[in-house]
Amino acid sequence: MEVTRRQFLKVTGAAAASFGLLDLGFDMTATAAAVKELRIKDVTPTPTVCPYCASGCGLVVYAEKKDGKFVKLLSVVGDPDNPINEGAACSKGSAMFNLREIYDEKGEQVINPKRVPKPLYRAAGSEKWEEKEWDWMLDEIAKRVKETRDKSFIHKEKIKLADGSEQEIIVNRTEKIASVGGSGLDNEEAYILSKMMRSLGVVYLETQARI
Amino acid sequence: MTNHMIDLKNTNCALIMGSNMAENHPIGMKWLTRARLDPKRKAKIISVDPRFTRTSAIADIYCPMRSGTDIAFLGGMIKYILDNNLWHKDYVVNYTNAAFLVSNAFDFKDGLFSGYDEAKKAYKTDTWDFQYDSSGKIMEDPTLQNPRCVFQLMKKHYERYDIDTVCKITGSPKGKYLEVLKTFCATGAPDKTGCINYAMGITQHTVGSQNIKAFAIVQLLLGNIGRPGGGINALRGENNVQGATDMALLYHNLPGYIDSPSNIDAYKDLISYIRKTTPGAAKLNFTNLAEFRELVKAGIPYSGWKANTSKWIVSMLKAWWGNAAKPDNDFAYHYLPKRNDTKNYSHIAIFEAMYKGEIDGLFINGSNPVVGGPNANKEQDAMTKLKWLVSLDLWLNESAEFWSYPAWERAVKNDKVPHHTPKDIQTEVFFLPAAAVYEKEGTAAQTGRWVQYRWKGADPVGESKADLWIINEIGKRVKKLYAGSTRPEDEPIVNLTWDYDNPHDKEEPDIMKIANELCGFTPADNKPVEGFAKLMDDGSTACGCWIYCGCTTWKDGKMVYKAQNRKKDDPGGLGLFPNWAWCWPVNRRIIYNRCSVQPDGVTPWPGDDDRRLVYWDPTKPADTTKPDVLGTWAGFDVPDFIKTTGPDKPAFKDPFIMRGDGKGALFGSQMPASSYKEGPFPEHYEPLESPTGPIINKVVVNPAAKIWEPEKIGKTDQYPIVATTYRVTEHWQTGALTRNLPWLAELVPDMFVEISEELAREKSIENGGEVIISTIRGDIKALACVTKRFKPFLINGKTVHQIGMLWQFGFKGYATGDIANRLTPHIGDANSMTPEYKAFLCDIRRA
Repeated sequence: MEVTRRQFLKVTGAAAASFGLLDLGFDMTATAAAVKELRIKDVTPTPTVCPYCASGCGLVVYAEKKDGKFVKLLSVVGDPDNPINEGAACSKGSAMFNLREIYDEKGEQVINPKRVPKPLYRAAGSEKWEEKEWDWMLDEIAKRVKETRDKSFIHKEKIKLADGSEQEIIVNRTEKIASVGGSGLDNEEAYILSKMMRSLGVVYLETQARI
Repeated sequence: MTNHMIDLKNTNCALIMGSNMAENHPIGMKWLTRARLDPKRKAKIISVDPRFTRTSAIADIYCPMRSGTDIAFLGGMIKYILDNNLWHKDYVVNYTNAAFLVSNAFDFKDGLFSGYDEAKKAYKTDTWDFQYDSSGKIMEDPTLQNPRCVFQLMKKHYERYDIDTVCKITGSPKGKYLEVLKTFCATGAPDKTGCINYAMGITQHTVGSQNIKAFAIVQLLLGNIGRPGGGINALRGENNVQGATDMALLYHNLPGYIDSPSNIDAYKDLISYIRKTTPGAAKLNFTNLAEFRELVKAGIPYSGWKANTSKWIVSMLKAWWGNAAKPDNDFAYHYLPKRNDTKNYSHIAIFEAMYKGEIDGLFINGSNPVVGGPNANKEQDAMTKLKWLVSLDLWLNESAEFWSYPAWERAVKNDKVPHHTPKDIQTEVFFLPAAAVYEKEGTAAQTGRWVQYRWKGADPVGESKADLWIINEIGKRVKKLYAGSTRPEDEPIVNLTWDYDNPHDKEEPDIMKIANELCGFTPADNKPVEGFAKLMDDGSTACGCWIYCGCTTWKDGKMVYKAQNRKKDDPGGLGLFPNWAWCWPVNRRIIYNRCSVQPDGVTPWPGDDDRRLVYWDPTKPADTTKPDVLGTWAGFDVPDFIKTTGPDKPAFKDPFIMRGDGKGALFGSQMPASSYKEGPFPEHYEPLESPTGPIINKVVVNPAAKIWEPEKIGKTDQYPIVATTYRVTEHWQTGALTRNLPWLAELVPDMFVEISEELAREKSIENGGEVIISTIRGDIKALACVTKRFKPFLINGKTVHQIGMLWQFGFKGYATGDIANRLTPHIGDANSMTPEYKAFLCDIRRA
């Protein structure tokens, strides 16, 4: 990561801007300091890859961090080092800033209000969502999973062998739980999801590749 | 993709079919325009599409084609290649199964291959096989003259696909079609390569798999597979749909594309599984792994690289169940769920079962079936039968709120469409807010199989969490509920390895622990296995997904994840960038690359010196620890070949190592790999809902396709217009990740349908006016975009209109609009059950 960050600093303009103050032939340092801090002060670049189509374009997240803590985004722009897109980004890639933050009607930079900050629960027959704590949600989900699995689990089944005789084999499956989606997950996430679902005996297991 | 994005710059010609690449993969598209500007390549770009798209606007040649007629289009291309002797002779004779002799019992008549069972709507495939000599070897005629050889049978099969007949089916103007044929088939010259780029316009049909098989035949005949600038390039639509497929979030696979077992004799235990999944093993006698290993060592005929399947499955079982996976319990093979072999468990099947009330709980992870599922009215109705739903997403998308009042509003009152209110929906919904892509870290496999790392650049919003954390927590809590259970059916959970917590960070699981397990390690010392050739089937290695093995290594006392590589050297200048990220398998950037060199293993194809990727070097050792054993495959790319297979070995000219016979399959035989459900050669059939009867044979719809809803098939008397769906650059998939972004919502704020000027006149529809589109399954409202981009087709002498619409709108987000998939049918491809979104019948009127 060290090398990478240094490579990125080359294009942040941070270094260039500080030299630029002298390149004009006269010293503007004091003036500049008096006017405004540079927007790129305390900004760290981090490479990522686009979450939209699968071309695999690289993007750089420029975020303001103070004392190692994240404050807000400056921008998300194409990664000039990534050989696939060479710094370019399409309309979706260029809008990735909005995944987290937007400018509101007053022009203030705020969190995208469509993002959901807390777990939500909708009870059977209810017309509304209720905010809940993570612990409650996850425990309830685990209970539903166990209850549904246990009452529907098929442990063994008699099958016909090639010679016409019958044999009981372990089949370990439930057909009452299904899982769809996951093509937006990272590999590590998709892997443990696949592993978890199969350990539960889930066979209705699908991702967007099918559709 | 067999090749990768940057490799497109090496092509002489690109056929873009079933993809609007300029719109949906805009940055990837620039590599094609670069190939066109490169004086060495002077590439031509061809766009074949029912509509004049943004890709067509960039292309050198645009040829219209009615939705759902790709096999007719490509069948005509196969005939043109053969009639005009444009095929790449040395490639075809040596690298494909063109010379193989086919069983005398194989036949084709009136649109059906031999073995069709009308009652079962399925084929018995035993006649789709080769002829064997007494030693069990496939018989061949390298002169390709024997009337029973694949080449001659193929020629006979496509004899009917003459240009006039093809254009009657596709509605393409003859002159344009001929221009496409001339231009693309010129890449059969040994010094030229051409690529085919496709997307969902090809796969989302009842004949989707056979469409791709037709591509394979074209590309093998032209000698375009395994070479830079060639290939069959699936332009995948989601950033990690490749990775999710690799990890087998699909019912029919386990990670790394090995079979998921079902409840049949052939999968009943580990040895049976190995016998079934290892090509050539069915005929051999062995009762345990030790005996099997001896047979592998001696060489199993027609098994190819899949002779190693036992190592992949055992290493996966070892990764999942650790110490509980032992040699004396089949490495816990019995823990794996066994499907009911007679059932389908794919997307459509899930929602059909749910509709019948057979499913209680559903997890939806970053997906949105209420907008993206076919026959969305039905899928939404099916969800009301759930007892509980867990939805993981950044936003409250249409599926998370399927129970709300707006979810049941419809543009047109229609008693046949289901209606509910929140009060009568008894589904509990758990919405888990997920972090955005740059608020977490992990790897994603892009469309060219490059596995790139994305670092965390910002904190998650509010209390939202990385999916990794959420899945890890659910796993931990389920395991806790089962802890201490001694019931044998709970063993798969009790004994599941699930130790991903990070001792230094409570907020995030340890991603490197998961990487180590996924990519393979040695349980004895917990260090990475350096490539899948080193995986074992004795329990001494563990690996969650064998094709990712080699993505981790051990250096300077710690694990290195090669997906994080960011070096930019490009030896050979072909854009391979071997030290940028990592690519499966084993960092090989172009698969089947043995084909980039002549059969002698050394000589580049005539006039094509700079596109030779690999070669046989008799002067160097394959293994530096054995310097006396000379001879190895080398080159710019990682050779897709066993390094020590030299000219003295029979497999020296067998580039397709994942196939038992090592040859590219022009004929899809039942052995050594399983065949497609509809037959060994692609044959044109109409979509489920078609504006015409059969033209080239006597069968209308794919005879092997499962009809889920026989009562819901639209006919031309009520629904005379062909419809299709697609996307725009500014929105992505169901729009959840774009209609919630103000900048993108503003760019394309409204749902619209594109119709030709001719149809608009007929229906008195004005540009910008509201229209209603109806199918037998529902109605939607949209704005009319009257355009020259669609033109009426002349199909078998009759005028047929086609319209197209976005499927990216819904009732949530900043930009809202009606859901196009309320119109599309529940029918899938006979092999993959991928829904036929891309061709259906509708009617349209002014609102």
